[in-house]
Amino acid sequence: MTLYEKSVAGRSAFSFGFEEDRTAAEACVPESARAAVKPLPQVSELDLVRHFTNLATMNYGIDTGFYPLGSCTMKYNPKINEHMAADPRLTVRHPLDDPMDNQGILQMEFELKESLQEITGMDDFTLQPACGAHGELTGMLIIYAYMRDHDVKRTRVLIPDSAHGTNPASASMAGFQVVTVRSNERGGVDMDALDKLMDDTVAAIMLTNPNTVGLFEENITQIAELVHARGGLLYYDGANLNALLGLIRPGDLGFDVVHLNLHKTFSTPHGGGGPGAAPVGVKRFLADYLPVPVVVCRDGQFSLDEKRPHAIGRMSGFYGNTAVLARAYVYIKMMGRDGLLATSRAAVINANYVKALLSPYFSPAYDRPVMHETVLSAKSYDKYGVTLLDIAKRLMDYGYHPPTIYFPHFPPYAEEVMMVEPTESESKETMDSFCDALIKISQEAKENPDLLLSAPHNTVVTRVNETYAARHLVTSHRDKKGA
Amino acid sequence: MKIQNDAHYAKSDEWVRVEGGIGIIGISDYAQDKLGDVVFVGDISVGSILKAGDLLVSIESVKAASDVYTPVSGKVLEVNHEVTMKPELINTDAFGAGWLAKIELSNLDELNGLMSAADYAEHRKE
Amino acid sequence: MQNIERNKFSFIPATSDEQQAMLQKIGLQFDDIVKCFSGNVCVEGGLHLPEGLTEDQMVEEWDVMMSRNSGPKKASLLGAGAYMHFIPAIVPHLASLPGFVTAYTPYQPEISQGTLQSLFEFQSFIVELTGMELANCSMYDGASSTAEAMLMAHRVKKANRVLAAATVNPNYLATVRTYLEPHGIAVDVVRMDGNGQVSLEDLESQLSASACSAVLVQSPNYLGIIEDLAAVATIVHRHDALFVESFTEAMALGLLKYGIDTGADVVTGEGQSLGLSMSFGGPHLGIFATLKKYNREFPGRIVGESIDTKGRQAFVMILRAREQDIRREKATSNICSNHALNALTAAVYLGSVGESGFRALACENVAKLKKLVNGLEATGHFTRVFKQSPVFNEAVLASSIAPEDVRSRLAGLPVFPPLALARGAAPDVQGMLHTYLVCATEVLKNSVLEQVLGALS
Repeated sequence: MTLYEKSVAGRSAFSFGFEEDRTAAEACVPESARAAVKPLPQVSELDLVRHFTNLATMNYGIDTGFYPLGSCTMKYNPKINEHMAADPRLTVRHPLDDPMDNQGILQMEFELKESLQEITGMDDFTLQPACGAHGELTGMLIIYAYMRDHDVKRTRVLIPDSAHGTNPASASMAGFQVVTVRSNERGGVDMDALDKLMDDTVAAIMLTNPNTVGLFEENITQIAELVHARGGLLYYDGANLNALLGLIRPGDLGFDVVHLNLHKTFSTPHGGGGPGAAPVGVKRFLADYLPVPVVVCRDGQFSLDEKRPHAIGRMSGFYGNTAVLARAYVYIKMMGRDGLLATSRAAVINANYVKALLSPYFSPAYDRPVMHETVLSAKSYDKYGVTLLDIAKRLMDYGYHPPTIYFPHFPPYAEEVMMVEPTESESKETMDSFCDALIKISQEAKENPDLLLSAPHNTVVTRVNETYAARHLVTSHRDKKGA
Repeated sequence: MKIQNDAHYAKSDEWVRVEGGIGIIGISDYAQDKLGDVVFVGDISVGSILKAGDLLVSIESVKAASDVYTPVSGKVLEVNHEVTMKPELINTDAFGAGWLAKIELSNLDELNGLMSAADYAEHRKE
Repeated sequence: MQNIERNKFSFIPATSDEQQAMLQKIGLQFDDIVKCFSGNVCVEGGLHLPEGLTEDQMVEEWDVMMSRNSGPKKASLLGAGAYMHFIPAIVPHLASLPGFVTAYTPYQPEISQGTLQSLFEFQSFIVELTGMELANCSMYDGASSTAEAMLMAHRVKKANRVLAAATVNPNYLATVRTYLEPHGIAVDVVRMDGNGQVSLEDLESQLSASACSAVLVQSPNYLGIIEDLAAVATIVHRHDALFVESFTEAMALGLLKYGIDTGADVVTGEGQSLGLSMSFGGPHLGIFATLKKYNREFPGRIVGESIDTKGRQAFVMILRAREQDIRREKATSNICSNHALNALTAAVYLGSVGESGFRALACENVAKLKKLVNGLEATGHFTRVFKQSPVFNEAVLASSIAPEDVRSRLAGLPVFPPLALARGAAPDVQGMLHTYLVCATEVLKNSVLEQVLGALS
């Protein structure tokens, strides 16, 4: 039941000491612009508390249990992050207030920028983008602006078939034409295909490394040399940076622009779909194109630099998701140099461990060690009339969030693949129990496939009818009233 | 997989059946099966002149969007409004009630470049 | 590879022995796994970052750093896109429940009903408040949401030109320009008239000059003035463009008409005022609402009501075929993660203040600004510009007092000083060289308001 359905006229959850005359205020607004009172629910404070508290229990979060959603890096969100980000000295600060009165926040942002520069090997950063796709758009707009100034005929962008959908969508939104590069039999970029496509109309190649199959792009040095030699730039999608922390840096591999998902690698919570934050780093020659404003430090004083004539413009109303940046700042400070290295090491060991346990039951497409995530196939359960979706739903009955399913889409991954990313946060026992559950489900698939086909059984709702939803299109309370 | 014997097929899974110089166009049963439950069929403008291979319409299932290309050139004479209202007709009767548009064929030779029912069955043999 | 004392890190559970056991099961050493790096430049000797801090050390460092900000504030004369409002205690309490905070995007509806239903409720509230037919479950912020609306209008209307009122928040306008530039869409500005509103005359003439996909008008506008949206809509529709209504102050939704009633095709804006803190600029909340006929064209995620296999009410993300993970470069937007948790926060807030509370708050804002403006004018150092035009909770005042003087006079008070506008932003007033955009909300209690007036007398 929604709040509207629970509403009772005359109830209120609000307690506020109004000081002014409401009727006089209404009269200040011309009648033509004044709306009738708009319908909102009327509930008591306890109604409201119970409503949302119960909803929260209907969600599965990292705090609930194992969340091996590949490519999403669902690591633990340290509570100290939340505590620091709720500090009123940060939350009750107006973005247009004088920078001299906000030196603490600006120092935090500047130090975060410096840390990210060191972690990625880039020269400068903007902290403005609100999440991964926004970071990609920012990065691609920087490349667009650079090419407009230097080599205007470069209007195409190369993207591997293994890429996340945001890559082609972002490139397209930044005004580029997208060209797909196929992958080779080892899961990396096909060098011959790249060689043929990389001409003087190509502005850049967008790569995720490790890629979406969890494999390190072995030919990255050759790719960088080829692309650079022919006048193109390299864009690094930082979705999978968790595998590389302290081991290897995108800047050293030849990337010119990177975006980082702070809500993945740097432990900020995902909130059921954001807010995140995605700082974008660039090499020196692109720094002038960063969107305004940029946090700078002169003589120990921090300020926001707005006077940047080459800047691509603005990506948002203010400077980015400061409270999310604060969480990532705290995380990096607490992990420190050795902690970040321990993170990537543990993430990689954990992924390979899960792969080792599950390989006999769900075959990996490539016989290679993986980085931070592993892609496994459930194709062999076809013959029992069971799909990967059924296996995923059954996992919920065992108390786990399913892995990412049906991604990536390219051969040999076209069908029935799941991507498992345990992250460094999980203990051996958790991974052992999760793998036991999947192995049990693989037995159930053979012996009692109906158990899977009708799963999940133990959740607050059973399978949700997406076709019904798509054909009825009820997207608000008002649509229901009309129905 | 159902196949309509008197239709011509494109590699991209559209079919065209010719009745008195007019081509009726739809997507194959194989294609609807791959798409899953169709939930939306976009607008096709009557009167527009299309070349073979041009975008005819976009259709959506719950998890996919698919562009349908006309296998033949000509002018759009009629659109199946019923399928716009009830997209599930494509799932239940891809070769019948699920047709998408009628086109006045401008070049009958194009039919020779399409597959026969037997060739299409071979093309989509699982 | 560096030898690490793993137990030191409280966020990584694996002990050294356990990792050895796991590596044994894998059948490789860690160095074997990372052999794929060979031939590339690796980090030698570790990153140049300090050693990690323990939690108590972190708290201490944070405290030192944050004390470099100025003292606590109770109210703000500064608005211009971010607003200080009262946030009931249950709002952050409920919005920070871990079930909401630590979940991912609700791709698996059976274990995500909490997020999905909350977002459905948010959409329902936004449909009512904006007067539109369909709302998505959030964008990043008001500026980017507005830019996406202009891109949508371009998809629908195809003309490579859009218009924006000169009275739109300049940061929004800059964001629109940034988003539209690579598509070769010209952004032309419609002049402001003598009342501080968009000039209908200039709008008519610019629309007559050549085809436009969209016209963007903000109300209350950057100068705090309520625009005549219905009058704008009539002109816009006569020229077959989409009308994008925008707002930076969501509190105004409590009192003002938007949406279908005023001829909008899209309503976009900033929802920060709905229970979210200013947090030095973010994360805030992008609002995007439109008409059902654009349900294949709008950007962003949306939740729909459905049923489960037992016929029970259940929610699920719908209209997914527009999105980047399915349609890739042909998607209506690249947006993936949005500001879902902030949408949920806004839903809690609107549930909390409720129908009568939200209206009363909007009125309190109008009245507080009126009281503040009257008080400032009474000092003799301030006078309102555009006196005849209706305002909500912000207004432009000319003053004889210079910005640095205003700052120092208010320095001892718990308020953010008002925004000093650049010369030319508003018409000159004789003897008053300086112009301010002044904001008042319900948190400007009479006691503080008196102190402000005293300091500026």
